Amino acid sequence: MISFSKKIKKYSFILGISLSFLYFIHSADCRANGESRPTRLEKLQKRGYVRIGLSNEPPWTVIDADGQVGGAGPDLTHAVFQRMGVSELQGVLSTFGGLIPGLLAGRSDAISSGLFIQPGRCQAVAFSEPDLCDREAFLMKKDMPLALKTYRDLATDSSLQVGVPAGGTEEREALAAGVPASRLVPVPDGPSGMIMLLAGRIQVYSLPASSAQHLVDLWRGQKFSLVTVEDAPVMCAGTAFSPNAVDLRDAYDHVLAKLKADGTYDRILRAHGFDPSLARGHTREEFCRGKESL
Amino acid sequence: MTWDNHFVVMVFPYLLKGLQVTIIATLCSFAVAVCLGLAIAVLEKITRGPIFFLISGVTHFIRGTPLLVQLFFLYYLLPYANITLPAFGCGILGFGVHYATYLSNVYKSGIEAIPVLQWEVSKACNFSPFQTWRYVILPQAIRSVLPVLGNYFIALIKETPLLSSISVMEMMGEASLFGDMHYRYLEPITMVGVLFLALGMVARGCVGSMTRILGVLREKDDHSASSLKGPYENSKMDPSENLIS
Amino acid sequence: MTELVLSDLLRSVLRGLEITVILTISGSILAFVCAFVFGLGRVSRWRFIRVFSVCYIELFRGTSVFVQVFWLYYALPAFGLLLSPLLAGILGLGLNVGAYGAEVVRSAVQATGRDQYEACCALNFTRYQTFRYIILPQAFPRMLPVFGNNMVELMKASSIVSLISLSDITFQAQQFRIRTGQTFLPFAVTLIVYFILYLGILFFIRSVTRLANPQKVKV
Repeated sequence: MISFSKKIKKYSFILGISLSFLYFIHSADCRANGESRPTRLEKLQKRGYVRIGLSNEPPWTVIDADGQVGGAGPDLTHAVFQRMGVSELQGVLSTFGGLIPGLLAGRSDAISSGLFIQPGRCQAVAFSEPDLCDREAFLMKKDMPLALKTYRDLATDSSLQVGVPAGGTEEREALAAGVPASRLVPVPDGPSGMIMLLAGRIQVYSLPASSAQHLVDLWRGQKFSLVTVEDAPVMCAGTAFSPNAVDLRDAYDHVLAKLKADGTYDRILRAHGFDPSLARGHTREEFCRGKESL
Repeated sequence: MTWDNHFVVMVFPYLLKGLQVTIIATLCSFAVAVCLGLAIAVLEKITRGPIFFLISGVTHFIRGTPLLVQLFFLYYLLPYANITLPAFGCGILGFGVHYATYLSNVYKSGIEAIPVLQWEVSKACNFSPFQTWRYVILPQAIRSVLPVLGNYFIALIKETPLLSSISVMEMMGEASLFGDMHYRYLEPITMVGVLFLALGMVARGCVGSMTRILGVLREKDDHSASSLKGPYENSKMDPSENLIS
Repeated sequence: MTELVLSDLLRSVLRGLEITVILTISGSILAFVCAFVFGLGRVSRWRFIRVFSVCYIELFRGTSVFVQVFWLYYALPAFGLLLSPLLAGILGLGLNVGAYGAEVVRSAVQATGRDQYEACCALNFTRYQTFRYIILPQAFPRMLPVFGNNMVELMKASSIVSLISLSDITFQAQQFRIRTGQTFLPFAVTLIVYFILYLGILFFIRSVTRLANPQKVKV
């Protein structure tokens, strides 16, 4: 019995320590608040490189065996930053879901990895004007005769397990359309999604059309069918900045507009198989406001 | 980014949901590990020659490579062999087999700690090998290693976050999903840490009373425990310290 | 085509191997230091140091290494401390395994019989002398095999840093998969490389143990 009460003492002690640790965190945090940096661009120019948050998702971003960063998003961002006087681009790899937390934690200066502009994200980060636009797609095995065209269709067929990129917009769209969270399976990356499809762990894989096309090309031997989602509008990605780096974002937008005007933009997008015309006529405000229909 | 209690309140229901999965996964995996580990230990004792080397080679391989990669293997590659287990099943299998290789060592040390005399007496009493194992050796061996098994149970709990990498939504999975959706990991992960601390304490309490109920006195210089041989012949070491994160 | 893929895989694995080895070695050194500092801290004369060591040990043993590494990477920056991924990985692994090691050190030191302390007392040894010349030479060989276990565990746990995007072998294997869509090859190679590392550590620990006690210490 003595040892028992001793134990209780010990545990409550440890609990107390961890609670006070939590409190310490809390208070330390309140102090670290509220600094502002007026000249982020100058800092970057002085430093000579910009850190870009990326997740490896071809063709939006491509990372080769030597760690070289390419793909539509980083190439475009690199072009813009070069015009802004920052010559070098460093990739900071993370999971897709970890991109925004990484940006907010100061691990990167901007995210350029096909992050769709979307109301919830607009509250967390400062987006540039739309750069890469895409439609949504469903991937299915060809021998599965599923007449799926919309997210609502996913909601009605209760036997479907739906794969969605972890932390992607597809998850929200599906939830908004009434697909229960229990039928959504977070997929860490493209090939994993394909294997999950082949293995029957999921019946549908919902992802941006260009990523889907890339995966279908990669799995040439297998039969997959790719359907463009009808009730999802064209989605546009923007380069995301920390909410207290709006000045940097504005400078970025300024240069981006120039690139769009002089044709550099079209050239980079075409090189990676994106349609440059999709972004025309769309604005950040429009996507940040969101759609009432969904 | 600042600490926000609002998020703590928000994330809590998700974490509790994940906690259930964590607990169920731990219990199931440990059940697999306990049975399989015993089987491996006995097999390693009764086999000779090539079969012995095969078994011990395989267990070394499993013990020497990361569980994370093994889970990927089970989850992404078994389907190619036309075996598609659900994600949870893959997790249980992966954890169960991995920990079975640890536990087999523990059992073996328990078996080796039994004096040779007992084997001889069993033979003299005309026990069959099965009877010897069943009624003489294993009851003593298992009882003497119970505290160590308990430690592995606690260690197992803390490895369950690996399950989130194969889309089993346990506590860490729920926390990172929540983090992905709300763009903040600070509160969810800290809370997961706190819950693990609490879970570990509860588990330690349970294991402690379990071993006591099962009639094992656990003392620092307990003879049966300190005479155990660890995986690497560490004599005279409290085997409970031979514990792995 | 296949040659291209293989050379790609080889380069990825080698790059990843470098990170894994750096992590394992630096993490082990940190763990070793922590194990001694806090293991001895636990048996210190001063209450404050004892309490502090117990807190460290319980905190790092009680929460999962997975959670710790994640926390160091994503949550610590909120307090203004931005660790590089490599440093976050080394710290997470080293501090975690160090907490386990501290218990090993403590129990090995405490396993030394009471009579020895009394003898030292009788010989008028200082505390330092007792520890340096009597306790440590007996306790250290006892710790080694368990440190070996812990080092293996650290090497294996280093695979989880791939989840914070530190490009170790596991991460490189994942990246290779994303590039090529192949799954079996990268995972199989990864497992084999880890196994070779495991055998290396076993060999290393066996040699050190043999060096540390030429005639096996019987206590």
